[in-house]
Amino acid sequence: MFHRLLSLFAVASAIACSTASGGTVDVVVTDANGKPAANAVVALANDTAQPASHVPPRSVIDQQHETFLPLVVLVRKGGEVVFTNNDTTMHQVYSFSAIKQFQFEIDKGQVSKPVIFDKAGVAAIGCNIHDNMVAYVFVADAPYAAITDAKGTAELRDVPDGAWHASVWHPQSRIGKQPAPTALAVAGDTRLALKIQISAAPAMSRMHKDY
Amino acid sequence: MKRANRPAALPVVTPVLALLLATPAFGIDFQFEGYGDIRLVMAPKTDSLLDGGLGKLRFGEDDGGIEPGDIVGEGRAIILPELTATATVRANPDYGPAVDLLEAFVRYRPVSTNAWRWSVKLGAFFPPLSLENDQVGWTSFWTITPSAINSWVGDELRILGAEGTLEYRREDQTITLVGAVFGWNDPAGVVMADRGWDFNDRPQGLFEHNRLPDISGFGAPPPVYGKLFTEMDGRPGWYLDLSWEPEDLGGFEIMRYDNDADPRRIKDGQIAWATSFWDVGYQKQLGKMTVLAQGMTGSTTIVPSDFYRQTTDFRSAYALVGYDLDKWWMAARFDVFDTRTRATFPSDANEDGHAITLSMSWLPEKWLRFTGEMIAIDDRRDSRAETGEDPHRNETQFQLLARIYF
Repeated sequence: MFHRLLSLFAVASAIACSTASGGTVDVVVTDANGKPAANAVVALANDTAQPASHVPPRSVIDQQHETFLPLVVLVRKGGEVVFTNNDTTMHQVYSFSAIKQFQFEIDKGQVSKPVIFDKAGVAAIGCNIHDNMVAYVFVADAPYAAITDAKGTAELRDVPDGAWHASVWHPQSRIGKQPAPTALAVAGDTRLALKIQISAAPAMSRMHKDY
Repeated sequence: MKRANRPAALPVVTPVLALLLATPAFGIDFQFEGYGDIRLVMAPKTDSLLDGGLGKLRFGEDDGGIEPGDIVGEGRAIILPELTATATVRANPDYGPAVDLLEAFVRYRPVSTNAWRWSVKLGAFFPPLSLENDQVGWTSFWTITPSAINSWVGDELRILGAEGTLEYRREDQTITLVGAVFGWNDPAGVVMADRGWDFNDRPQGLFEHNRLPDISGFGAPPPVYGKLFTEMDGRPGWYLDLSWEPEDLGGFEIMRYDNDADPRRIKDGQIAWATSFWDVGYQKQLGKMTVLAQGMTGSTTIVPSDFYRQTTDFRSAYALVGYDLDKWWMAARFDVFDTRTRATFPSDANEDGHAITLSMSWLPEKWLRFTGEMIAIDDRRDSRAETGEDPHRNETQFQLLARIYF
């Protein structure tokens, strides 16, 4: 009997906690034509929340078939990215982005040392051998951030009720053309629709010779 | 122009090949890709440019039906991450050497973690002016047959020498300066002067005898051959190419090329053609649509004696609009071209023409491509009258290509 009471108390507490902490923000990101925008990063911030508290501290970028996978990864400010090479050839990974400059060689089957990203922003990653390889590391200092899937959707969990502003970035959004942050009032589970203007992916990339 | 002897081993290609063969395999990654294709062709009832005629197309009266295409393989050795060696080989039993080289070069490009990056290339390679031919084996994504400008680049130009590249990269734009010094291309210009512009997706092989128009033999029995990749005067040629790619505006390119050949030089029965040109290009992607445009103006001169001088001015431009639906894509291109020859004695080597190319491709699998293409050319070339032909021609060529990538 005591155990049952304890269980009920635990469930009630969990419900109470979840209500007090807000809910899940379901985001849909579309492009200017209303089509789902995959690989967009949606971030929620306000003036009081802890920086990057719900953003992964570590992400992995793999290399297969002369492609970085996935195209976009997300880490919190101060977080790290590890590169794995499951390709049949070596790569020379580099970045000359403003927030992080690095380069290293990675042979077949190897795992890189963690690369620490201690500044917020976006780092474009390339391979010095294969010009068509590209990936993006989004380094967030917002407390909540997520990447959209193929349907353009993302889920930000445990967002406290209150006033937030939502920002969105996409690898094909042009420099300086990202939309201004959108005000968002979170009250329990909340839906959010965002639009972003993105340029077309480069044509011919399917068969492009890269050297 | 006499029939050429077998070309000597190319001085620049040879050390590149030697390096490729002599480098120990340990620690080196090798990559290989390429394609083979077969075509269903409906050719015009005129003489193909590959058969010594003054036609503008690869296929002519002797062709049609099922035509075996090319097998092209491109191998690359990653000797170090900064140092790669690349060779492109073409096999085609139907024409020219059964196996020939299109390119062979080494590239050294140190990795850079700032805005500037430089690289050098040494060997034999295409100049970087084609906006169309950026696929394996110097082929085009959009069409089977490149524009008149890039057909000519494939016909006559190959850089045997050293090229340096300096890039300035920013997130919103890239500026690239490419410069090269080269040799072994002094006869470049003879095809333009004697045959004019054409539409040909078969670039000249490095060891191939170049089939010239039969009228280039001045009465000698055909076929007439020349050697395109040979050094005649010891003077290097050069080019400079500047491109600017701002994110919002597209890509701009301008090139100045001069082979700096001595137009008075005659060697082994061949004349050196002093050839120079300006080339400008523009490309822009608008959603699924891509626009490519190039223009070229130049001249080629020979002075075989104190009593004869001949200069051919050549101009061409094209605009291509491509629409890319992922597995399907289509392209429409319009080319205009002309040549004017000024010589000590009156010349009949002038031409004017235009061409429309329509192409549609389907990529059902990553390794399989089908492309249907039609080219319709309307042109007038005065020298056709020398063989009793009508200088004015309408030529139309249809191709249905199946290409397997490996």
